[in-house]
Amino acid sequence: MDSERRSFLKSAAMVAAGSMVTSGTSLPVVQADEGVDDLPVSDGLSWNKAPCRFCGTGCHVQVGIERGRVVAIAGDKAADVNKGLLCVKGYHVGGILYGKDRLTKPLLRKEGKLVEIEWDAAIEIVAKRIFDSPKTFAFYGSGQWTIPEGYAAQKFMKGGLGNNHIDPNARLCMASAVTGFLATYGVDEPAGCYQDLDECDVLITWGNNPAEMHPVLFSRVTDRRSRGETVRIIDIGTRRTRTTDAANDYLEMKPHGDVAISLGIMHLLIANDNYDKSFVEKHCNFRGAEADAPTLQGESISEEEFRRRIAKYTPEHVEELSGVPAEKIRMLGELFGNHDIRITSLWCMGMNQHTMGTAINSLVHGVHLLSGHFGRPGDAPTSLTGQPSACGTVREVGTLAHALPGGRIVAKPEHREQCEDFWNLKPGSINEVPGYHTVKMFEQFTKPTAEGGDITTLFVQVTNPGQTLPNLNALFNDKKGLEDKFLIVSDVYPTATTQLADLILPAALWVEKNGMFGNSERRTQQWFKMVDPPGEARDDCWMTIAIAHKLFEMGHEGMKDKNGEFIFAIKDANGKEIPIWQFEHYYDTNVDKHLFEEYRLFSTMKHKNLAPYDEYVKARGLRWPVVQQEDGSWRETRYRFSEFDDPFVTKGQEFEFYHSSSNDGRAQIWFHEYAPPPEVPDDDYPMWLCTGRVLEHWHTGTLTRRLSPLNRAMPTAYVEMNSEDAKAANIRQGEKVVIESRRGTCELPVWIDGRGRPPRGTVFVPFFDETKLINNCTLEAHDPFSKQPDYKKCAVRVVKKTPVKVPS
Amino acid sequence: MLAKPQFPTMPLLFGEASAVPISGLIVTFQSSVAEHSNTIAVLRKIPEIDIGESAGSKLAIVIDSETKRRDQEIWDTVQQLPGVIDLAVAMVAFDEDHQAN
Repeated sequence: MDSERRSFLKSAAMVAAGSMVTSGTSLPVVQADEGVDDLPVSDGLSWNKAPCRFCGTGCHVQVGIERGRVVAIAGDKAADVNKGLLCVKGYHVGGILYGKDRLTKPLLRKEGKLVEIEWDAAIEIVAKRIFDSPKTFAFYGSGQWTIPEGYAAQKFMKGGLGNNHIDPNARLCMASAVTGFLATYGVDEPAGCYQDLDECDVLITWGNNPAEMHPVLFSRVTDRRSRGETVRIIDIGTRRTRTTDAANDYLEMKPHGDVAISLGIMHLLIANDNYDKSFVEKHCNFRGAEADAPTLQGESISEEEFRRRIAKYTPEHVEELSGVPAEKIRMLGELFGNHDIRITSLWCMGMNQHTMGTAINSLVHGVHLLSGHFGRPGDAPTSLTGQPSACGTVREVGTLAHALPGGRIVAKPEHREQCEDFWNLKPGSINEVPGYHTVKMFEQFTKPTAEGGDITTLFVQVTNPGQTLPNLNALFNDKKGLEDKFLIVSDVYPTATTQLADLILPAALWVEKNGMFGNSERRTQQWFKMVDPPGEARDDCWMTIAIAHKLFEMGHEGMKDKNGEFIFAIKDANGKEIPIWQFEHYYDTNVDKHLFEEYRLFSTMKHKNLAPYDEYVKARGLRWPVVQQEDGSWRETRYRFSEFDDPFVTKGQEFEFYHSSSNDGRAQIWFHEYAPPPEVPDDDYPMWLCTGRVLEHWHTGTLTRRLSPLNRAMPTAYVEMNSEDAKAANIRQGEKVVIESRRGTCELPVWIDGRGRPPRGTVFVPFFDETKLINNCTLEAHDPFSKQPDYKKCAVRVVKKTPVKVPS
Repeated sequence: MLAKPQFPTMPLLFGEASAVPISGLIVTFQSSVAEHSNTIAVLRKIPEIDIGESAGSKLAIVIDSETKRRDQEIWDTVQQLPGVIDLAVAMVAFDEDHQAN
């Protein structure tokens, strides 16, 4: 970089930072038409918008491109989500494209060694495996699939193959949030939005560490404090974190204590008679699980019965169950009983990766409904997501094994018929039986065929199950007797999953392709391809379409619509089909736009209305439902179910839950009995193990571990220990120990009283490090409704690597 | 406050990168910038930092470092200075060799 250019960029950086500072005493108010005028444009440097590739916050960045490379990243001041700011991972997002070990050629394992092959051969191998046994094929994706990628995969599987064995890693991530929303409101995804963080008086983090995992969102709260506003932060958790450091109150709970705490708050609201009677009377029902065979719908119970069941959850009983002192439970009860303040609850994996995940999600929604802390800006129960499109691609497109696009499910005949109609397929094309959820899918893939393992070919895109599945020794790691099984992995870098792959497909990443994401606040975002992928890396969506077309050529009937045309056919203005299955023609048209416009048709049934693709090109995302106005413009919705903002609420209703599972416009306040975790410490395995993430690395570290500053800042996984536990076991700082559970082991250095501070009897291990697979130890026990495993609590012991020398 | 793990022999799993980043950052203090003169003085002593405008509790700075390692060191230092509650990114530009392996 020459000195003149360096000086120029330095000035630009100062202008960018300075404008954020001087734009007002608070974070800048975003104008929809705000441009990027203060970013440098000389020297061939051009800028375009994209959402960040990492978490579910959905920050927008401006990507600086020069000579076909990403050379700069700026926070996008026109973006309402992040108002021009980025966290340390966003700072480095441009670098994720340029790791030196990018996969650039298809690789086929032959006699144990990976050899390069051509794309045509790779596509033919995959298609032939599917053609020969379509029912034993499974497709595993993620919340990192773009919306069009997920939609194409969904249509290919459920529409084309009549096979529902498609599931995303989001099953491991937020499936319990989905079932919690469905059980409570009859429809998925949060009612509120990030504005709640700007308006709340009290922020409660339930087993959640947004200071590290969603730092830009957390900064919206700390920014208010720095301006003199009072925001009380109450952190409920099983270990102290950076969020605890900023909290006014820290309530340390035992694992599963959140269930007892939420029941205790509701008990107090009833006992103190300060729940919101008017809101409950007009807008809520009470519900409980059926005694014999509990379902997600449950059964109606009277308020009297609800009162009877919740009566035993006194503060003292809750203290016994949760470990949180009774006076703290009373403090929470008083806060929720105060109608003059606004309370926002935030949660993420702590409540979702939970064998009572559906229950605890429903209970926290119930706390807000019973207290009336709902539906006004700042009064919101809000779940966050960890992946950039867990909402957009998984929950809305419906890439789960039981789901169809737009909130439909395979089990409902009318939903299948609607999809077959939209897709112009023959009646009966879609299978009515839900496919395998993630844990079951991998059980069936890693079980020998002769023993009933009926998944023989598995295609993994945009995720790394070899590192993220629970109980890896059971569900993934190398096994005998699986010689007839075939694992296909599309990724950008070598991973723990590619290590066992039979076929590796090199993928394009982020701004190397067109894309759309949907973030945690129902915001659909769009970006265009800006640079070419390296070597022969190609779009995941293209891979799906190319495989589908190869099957079409082979005569697979499912790849034809009712008219005999290819199910992904796109025609030019003259009616001639564009051969998008040939990569050299893939960008002859905007495939994303075609797929999205088709997908939009599905979005109105559950009032998740989407605008035309071109509206997203102009915007920094739009929150659904997006409804066209009389003047032709498109209006997004910040607050669902609230008359003041949601166009689908009947006038005069104030609130209306128009997808109520009781078909009366009401939400459900659930009662669930507390139950202990599936595995608890005992004499053999006396410690709790909790797993999670760290600020510097995103999920399995596939991207962030290739960024040397981040990797240097956090080079290895570790086990956090309480100093008293370490002292009692004669374990020193930095010493290597082995974490052992009933399922496996993991060797790690010890970090005593580090960034996170677990209480006595608890250890914490992050899962980002592929050289230290803590998921060898975790438990695959899962929630009965969401099928989401519990990564937050199982029993382990900590074993010193070298025996202690006892002085003689 | 962030603290980093201190392990004596932590291996670097990936190679060094020699990119030369320039970043525009926003430092947020617990209270008005004017109340943190000691921390501002520390920032002024770091040669790679240029101090820009301030308003309320926010201060604009630019870091122009020779290596990414130095850039990260400065980032960590700033984040841990007294009174600093947040460090956010407004813009970062990096050279062509922005890559690790």
